[in-house]
Amino acid sequence: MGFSIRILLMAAVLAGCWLAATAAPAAISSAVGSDRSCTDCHEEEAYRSRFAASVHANNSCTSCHTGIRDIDAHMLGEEKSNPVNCGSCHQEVARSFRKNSHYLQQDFRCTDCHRGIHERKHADANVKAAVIRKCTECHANEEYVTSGHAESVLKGNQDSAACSDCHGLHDTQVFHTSLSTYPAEARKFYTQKCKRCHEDKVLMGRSGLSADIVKRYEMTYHGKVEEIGNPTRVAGCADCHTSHNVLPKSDIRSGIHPNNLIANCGRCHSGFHPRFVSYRAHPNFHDRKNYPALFWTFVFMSALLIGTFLFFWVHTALWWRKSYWEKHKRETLGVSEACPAPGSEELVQVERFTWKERIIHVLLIISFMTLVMTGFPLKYHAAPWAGVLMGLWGGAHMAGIFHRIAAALLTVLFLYAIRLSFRFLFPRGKGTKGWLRRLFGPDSLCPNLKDMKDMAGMFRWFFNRGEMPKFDRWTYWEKFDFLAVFWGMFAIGSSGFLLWIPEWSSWIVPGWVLNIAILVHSEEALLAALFIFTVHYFNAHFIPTKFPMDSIIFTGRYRLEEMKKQKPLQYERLAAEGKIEILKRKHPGIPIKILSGIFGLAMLLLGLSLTVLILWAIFM
Amino acid sequence: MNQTKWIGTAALLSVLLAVSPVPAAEPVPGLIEPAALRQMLQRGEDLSLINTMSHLECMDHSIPGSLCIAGEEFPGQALKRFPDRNRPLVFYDENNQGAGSQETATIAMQKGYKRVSVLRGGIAAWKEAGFDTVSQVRIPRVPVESIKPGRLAQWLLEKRDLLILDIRGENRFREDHLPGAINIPLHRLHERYSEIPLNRQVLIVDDRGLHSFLACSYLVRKEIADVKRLFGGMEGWQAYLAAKQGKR
Repeated sequence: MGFSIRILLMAAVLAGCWLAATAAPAAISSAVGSDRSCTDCHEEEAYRSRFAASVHANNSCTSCHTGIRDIDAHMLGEEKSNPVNCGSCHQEVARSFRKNSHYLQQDFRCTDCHRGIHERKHADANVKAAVIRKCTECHANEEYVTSGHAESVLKGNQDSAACSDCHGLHDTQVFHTSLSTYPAEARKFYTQKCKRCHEDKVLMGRSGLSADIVKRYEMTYHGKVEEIGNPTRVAGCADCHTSHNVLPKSDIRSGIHPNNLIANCGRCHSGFHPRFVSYRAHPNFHDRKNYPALFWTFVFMSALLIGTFLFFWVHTALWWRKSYWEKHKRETLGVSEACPAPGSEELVQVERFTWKERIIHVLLIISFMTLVMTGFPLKYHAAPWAGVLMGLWGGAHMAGIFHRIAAALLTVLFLYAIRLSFRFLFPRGKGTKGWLRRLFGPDSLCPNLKDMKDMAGMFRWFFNRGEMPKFDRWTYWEKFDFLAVFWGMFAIGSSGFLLWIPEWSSWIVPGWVLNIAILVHSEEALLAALFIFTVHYFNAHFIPTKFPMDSIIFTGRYRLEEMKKQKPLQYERLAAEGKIEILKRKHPGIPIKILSGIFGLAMLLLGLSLTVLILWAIFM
Repeated sequence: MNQTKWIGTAALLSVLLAVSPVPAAEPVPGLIEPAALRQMLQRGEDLSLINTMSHLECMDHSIPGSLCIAGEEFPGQALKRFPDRNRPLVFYDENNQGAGSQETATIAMQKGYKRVSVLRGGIAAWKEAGFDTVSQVRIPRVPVESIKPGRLAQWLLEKRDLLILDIRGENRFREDHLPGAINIPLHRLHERYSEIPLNRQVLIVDDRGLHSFLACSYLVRKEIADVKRLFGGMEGWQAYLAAKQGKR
């Protein structure tokens, strides 16, 4: 029995050896994919038990270490595995990483951050905290995580921003701000990152913050220029709030704490009075409680706009309707207006505007159009056309220069108009004698009682309740056109001068007045532009009796017959005083007619185009 | 007679000016795009592609087929290695924002090499174009703390025991360096690292902060464990000083 068992045992051992001898080469020759074969030589625990517990445990060694075809050659050192290509599985990450500045500039590879790859466990449940810990292994910890977003993340707030939320995870870009300069592309990049979270209503709601802050920033000069994308240095979010360790305003260490504002603003602005910092960086003019001055300014300007347009658009619509109806009636009846006989006095030209007044008007048009085209791309910076128009000027900074040049021209014209007004009221040799009579007289642009009667008379005429009033030299709408510029210059001019160099203005007014100036300037601009391009254009050019254009402001003269029709009281007065003769002029020459036509038509078309763009921006 | 004299003098001066040699403009190397270089390499064109970064950097990452000749060493090796002055030479460094390959290429032209180009954007542009690099001796990057200029200023004030190792070229070091700094140029670090004591805290300073990371990782491998780097390099330090000066 004992002998039999020994025989059996020996046979079993021999069989086992034979199996091992025949099986082993097969196992090793199929080493491609055989973990056990690799770890026969690569014995470290990292490749054995710790790998088996790692996130890559389901992979074989040769999933990553490819290229070994002959295990014998490999064991002799004659065949090495290919460099590991993590991107063969992590394709999306590898594609992102190709843009990563750590790769491009410092030649980082996957395992430089993901060290200990054979033992790597699954990512932390708190991925954001893990990112912060990883980045701050190299990037000085105390500067980035002692407060602000990172501190909040480390305390468990998943809504707050970790490094990767702003800088990207595998596609980190660097704008080399190590030189303490903040390139324009960095400002744009990081401001977009801030906006992405801070305009998310749900996210902000969870933290008890307002998501309107982004919209309010975008309504400031900083926000508009930053948004419009032209390379001008304006403050992005991080310029005021700092890029890391962002702290609330109440924290004494915060850049926006009242104690620190002078230094904060002083990083870009210089030469300002300390009260400059009372300027509100992103105010809400709908908030009556916190911004009462702004709120009531907004209410007033809105009422002014609505009131003005309500009256004059109704006036214009009724006038157009009445004029067109009368024209249509004449055409239907086959009645045409009587033409003066050739050679009759009615065809003689008389002067309405002197050459100085014509030049003033041309300059006024040029400055006005420049102001609109440089200012409105900023006002409606989000409109699709804003960037294009701003680009034509060479960017926001250049547009600002042209805006100021045009404003200076307009100011000169305004001051000259005041001088002319004074000369009219107080002519040489007469002093103040009779100035009241001149002020309310027929040649004055000052409104008088007759204007109120004429206005009532026009509305009666609109509704077929009376004849069209008879006008003297200036109609009430022409007086309004003229005086509106005065009002406009007061509002838009004074606000514009305050905004011209805001640092200097702070020596005159506190910073918060600049917030009001911005609002007044912006709304008055809208009032002026839309009024000119709709009401004035209609009054001067588009009523059916003048369509398509009345070039009188450029040629300065019209037929006596037209004076009789349009300004009958003036004609009667001048005829009684024997002053018609001195007003007679030659017919305008061809050059002036052509120039007037081209310039006038161009400005009309420009104005109409700008109206379309403005309405598009308002209603988009 | 006087008039004749003046006219003659003017004519003589004009002739002299016309025939006198005009100072030649500084030769400017051409720029080559990564895609164009890649095509040339794939076609097997006969050129020399020269990585002007330090030996360590070149071994760590290069464009396939590159020769490693540090910019500082090129003048001494040029004629030995490239006797044919008509041979096309293409230089590159990390990203062409530093002086590196541009300076070396200019030196090559001054030495009479006629077909000299610089890879636009350096190896960074090559990688950004999606082309692979090779690594003969990779230096794994280790976590290295970056010290900002403000903190360094504080350390200097406290007279902290710190060995400041400037790895820029000798000429740059001579122009300006941090107080107490020693200089081992990066292209010589692999030969002279043993000069660095093992038991001191070392702060690596380079020109812009792009080389110090690799230098730190190399020194850690050589068991110089306590290394840090100056964020932004000497340019960052100088910007910090300028900003402080401006505030005063």
